Amino acid sequence: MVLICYNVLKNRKAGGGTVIRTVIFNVKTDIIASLHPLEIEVLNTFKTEKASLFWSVILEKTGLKESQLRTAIEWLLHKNLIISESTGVEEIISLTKTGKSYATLGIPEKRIVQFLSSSEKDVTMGDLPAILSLEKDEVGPVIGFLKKHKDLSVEAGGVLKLLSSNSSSYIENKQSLVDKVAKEESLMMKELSMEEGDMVRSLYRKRGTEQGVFRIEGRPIFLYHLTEEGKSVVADLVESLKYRKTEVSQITSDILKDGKWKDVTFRKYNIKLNPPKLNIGKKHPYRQFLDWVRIKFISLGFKEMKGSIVENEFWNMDALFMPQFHSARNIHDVYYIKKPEYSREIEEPYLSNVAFCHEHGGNTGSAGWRYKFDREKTKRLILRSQGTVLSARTLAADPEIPGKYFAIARCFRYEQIDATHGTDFFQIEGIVLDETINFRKLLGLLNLFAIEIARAKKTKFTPAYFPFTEPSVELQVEHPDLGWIELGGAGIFRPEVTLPLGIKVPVIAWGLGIDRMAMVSLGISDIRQLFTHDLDFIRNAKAVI
Amino acid sequence: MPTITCYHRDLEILYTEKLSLQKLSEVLEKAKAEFKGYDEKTGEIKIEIVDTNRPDLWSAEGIARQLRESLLHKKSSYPFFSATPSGKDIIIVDKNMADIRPYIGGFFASNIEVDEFLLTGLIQIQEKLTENYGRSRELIAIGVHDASKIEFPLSYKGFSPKEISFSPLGFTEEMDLSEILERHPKGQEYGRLVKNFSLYPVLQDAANKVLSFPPVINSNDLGRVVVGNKALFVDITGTSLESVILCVNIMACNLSDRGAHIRPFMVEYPSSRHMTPQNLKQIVTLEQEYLEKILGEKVDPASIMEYLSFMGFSVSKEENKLICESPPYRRDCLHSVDLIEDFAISRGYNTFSPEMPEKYTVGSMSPIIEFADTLRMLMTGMGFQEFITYILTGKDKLFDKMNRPEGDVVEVANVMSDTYSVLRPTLLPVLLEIESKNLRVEFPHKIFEEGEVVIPAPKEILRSKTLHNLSAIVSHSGANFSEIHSYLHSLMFYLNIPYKLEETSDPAFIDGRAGKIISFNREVGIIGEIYPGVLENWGIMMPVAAFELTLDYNLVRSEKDF
Repeated sequence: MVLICYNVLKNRKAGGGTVIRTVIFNVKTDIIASLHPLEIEVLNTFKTEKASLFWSVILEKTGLKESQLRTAIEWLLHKNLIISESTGVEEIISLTKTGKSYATLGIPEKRIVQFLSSSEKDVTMGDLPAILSLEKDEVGPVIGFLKKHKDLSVEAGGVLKLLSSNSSSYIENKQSLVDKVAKEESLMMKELSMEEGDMVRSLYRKRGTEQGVFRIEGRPIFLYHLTEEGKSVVADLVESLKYRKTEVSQITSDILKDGKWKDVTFRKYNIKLNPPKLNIGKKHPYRQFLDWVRIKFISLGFKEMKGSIVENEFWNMDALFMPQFHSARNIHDVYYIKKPEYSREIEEPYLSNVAFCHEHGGNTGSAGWRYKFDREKTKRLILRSQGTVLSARTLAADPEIPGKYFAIARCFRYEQIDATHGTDFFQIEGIVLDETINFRKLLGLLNLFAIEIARAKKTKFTPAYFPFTEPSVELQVEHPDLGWIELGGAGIFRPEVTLPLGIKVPVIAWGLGIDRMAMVSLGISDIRQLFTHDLDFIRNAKAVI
Repeated sequence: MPTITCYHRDLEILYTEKLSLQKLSEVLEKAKAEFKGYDEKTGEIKIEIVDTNRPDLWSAEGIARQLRESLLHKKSSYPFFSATPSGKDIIIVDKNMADIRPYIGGFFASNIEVDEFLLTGLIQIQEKLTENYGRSRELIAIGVHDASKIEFPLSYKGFSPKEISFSPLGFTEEMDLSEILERHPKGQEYGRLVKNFSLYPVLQDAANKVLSFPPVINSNDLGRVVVGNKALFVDITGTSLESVILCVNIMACNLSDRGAHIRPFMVEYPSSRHMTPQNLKQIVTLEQEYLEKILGEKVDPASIMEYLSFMGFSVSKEENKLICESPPYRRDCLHSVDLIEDFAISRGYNTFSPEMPEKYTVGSMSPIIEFADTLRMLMTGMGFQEFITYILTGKDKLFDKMNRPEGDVVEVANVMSDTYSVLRPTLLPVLLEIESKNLRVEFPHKIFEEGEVVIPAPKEILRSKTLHNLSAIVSHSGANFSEIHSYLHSLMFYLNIPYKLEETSDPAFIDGRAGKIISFNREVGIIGEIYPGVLENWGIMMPVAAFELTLDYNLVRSEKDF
């Protein structure tokens, strides 16, 4: 029996106090315990003195199915108990069915000579099949052979006469070759002597329907050799199995109930094999990414804003000081609603405040856009084209000061769908309201976003233009995967935006474009894939980390 | 955002110094512009100008001017703004133009020779001013003419469509005004701007030769500019006097930057007159304290004055205020914040050190999102894969394929395609669409989407409501009502929301296997086995069972207000 030993080695580092303990298991014991019954069967076909076996031999000896053997061989290879040798296309010699009977009963030549030497009666060729259980067509060639080698002659009346009482050496050689192959089950041609080889070739294939004695297979051959470890395992196998308890693979409720689990051993599994992947329930990867962004902003102290997808021009544009003639307000940029066409009303006093501000600046100190504000057009319903509309509505809804707000808003632009544009897209927008807000704080906030959202260490600020902010700035960051990218735009809301909505403190407004970041983290290059219908793709998409 | 194309060499000549492409791409931020590419073969560069409110920058001349002032501190000088128009340099405006296209301006440019650079620059600024700033010639239109053929003074007058004929640019035959609108490509394109008037605008010279038919087309004779011309006349017509003058100023400054001598013209209306080009002297007062508050640091008034002068402003100091006069080619300063930004750009954004906002605020999730997230968590816990799809969809998917009669939906007017023409009022159709595209993907399929839907709501201010729905389907060979019901049941159990089902008939579901989901006596959703005819419409070969819920406050007993 092999014992499980724990060898604790202590290595003391010279001069240092660190002690490294290494626990070494007795490897062989572990391996024997982990052997699957199939593996044991295969190992049992090996004998220590014959440490190499061909696939076909193992197959025959174990009686396993090919697939079972393949699995067992794979495991054994994995455990390094055997190694495989591809012997190329090799001639493998084995006995045919006829050959095997020759091994048991003796070759016909020998049997005929023996019979004739002991028989006292005259025997003809026709008597032999019945007497010696030989096939009729087997007898003719054998007699011909014996005649040729002067072992016998055919006398008058077909009577066979033995010429020598001792069988010739040739017969003995042939019998010993059959016995040799029978003993080894199979042999490679190269293991035979030249004479033996010639003999095999002369006997493996005979004319007509006659069966040969030997089979020569010329196919790719794997030869399996026991490794040194394998040899030692085979040597110990019989011994150790005596001590092996009943082996259990699946634990059942029954053996737990009746306590039998105490009397069994649990077969060790090959835990390194890959199991099938499961189709689990999980979040969509893009939504998971958006959820991550949401949590980021909440952790930075931002409150989430929500709003309507259908908006009117007033909140989407006019309240943001985009003049009604602004080029981004036509049917080539914004989706207009056909039905219903106009909102019921625009809330006062915001309508009047904004209208005056556009016309002549109102009380904002601005010159205004100096045109006649259209109070009907402002009611026109559209699909929300920018998340900033939520910021405008928040300003008019008595926001907290100091306050920070954000939104992850679906927005819509009149754009042909392609690899970089979808009809719907997400905008991440927000505001910061406080008396102490200024340009430098805006830059500080953007730096924070760069670190928290884009994991960027470097940022660049460049001038930008938005109708609703002044000063305006564009944030460029050095993303770890993408290099320098535009992460977003920001600015301080113009007084023409804040004052008509009743806000007297400065307000930072910002918007981030994170689609590219999302695409990188999801490993896609086409924005349409964020909204794909491909179940396989979504099932296999990795979680966002 | 306008993108211009100009020759690198031309830009360097205008800038007055060498300007490598590398340097150019670094300094363009002074003009709020971005370098967009260089064509080695032609030597042309592309520049995008992000400020839609600064038409003076939409040309090589404008970019070069800004860079000259910002980087070389070379102040541009345009003496013609203080010149007086001489005798015949007059445009007489007929009183019949008052209600049609009332305003005009123009100038004479001599001391030039039209070459390829000048011509390219001229076409560039003309196109950008008329198309972008001029809203496709509605607000302003520009005509450039070979001045050597013109006899001054000019008259700007309305004619009835058949009253006058001339050869429009590109044609040798004479046409009357209505024929031009019918037959000339520009007539077809811009005819809409004059068609509603009984009289059409025409600019003629003293010999009654036609210069142009604004805003449609120039004459083929006077209104054709070619390489080699030595003098030009530029006219600008429009519906806003301010815009007309600004564009005249920009055109005049651009040509002046190329060495032209500019002669201003007097425009005489029946009861008033003005000169063009004309310095509009837009003056904005800037308080130092306000600038410091917005920028977040103390700034020396002398440095404000200096940096603003690099942006073209003339600044004088009056006590704590700075009186800033815009250059004649700019009219974008509506408020002193515009000056503050210009100061910051001029000094450089990188000269401001970022500072963290220090005020403490509490972050929170929107209640509806918080609620929706709980449902999403439960759905994934039950083994469902989440999807996210477009909100825009098509009526055929909502109704025809679902076997449902056409109902009210919010429709888009300017559709890009029928596939994306209405806002989805329900999520179930898209889940079936997904199913139809995954017939070969390993079953069972358990998928869901939680997302926004929009329904018409005539009483609401926005005549519609954006709601959050959740829909889920199961599909495999044994999918049926009791399976999907078990998921709904578990969902409601863990949400602690009581509900019951009432039989309903919905043609999308099998009769007798469909139910309304009722909670607190309110209908909050539907559940059932999809009718095989609907599956057939989608080409689905597996049974499908589904439910859809609307996540409004009817679903929860607490007082959470969504």
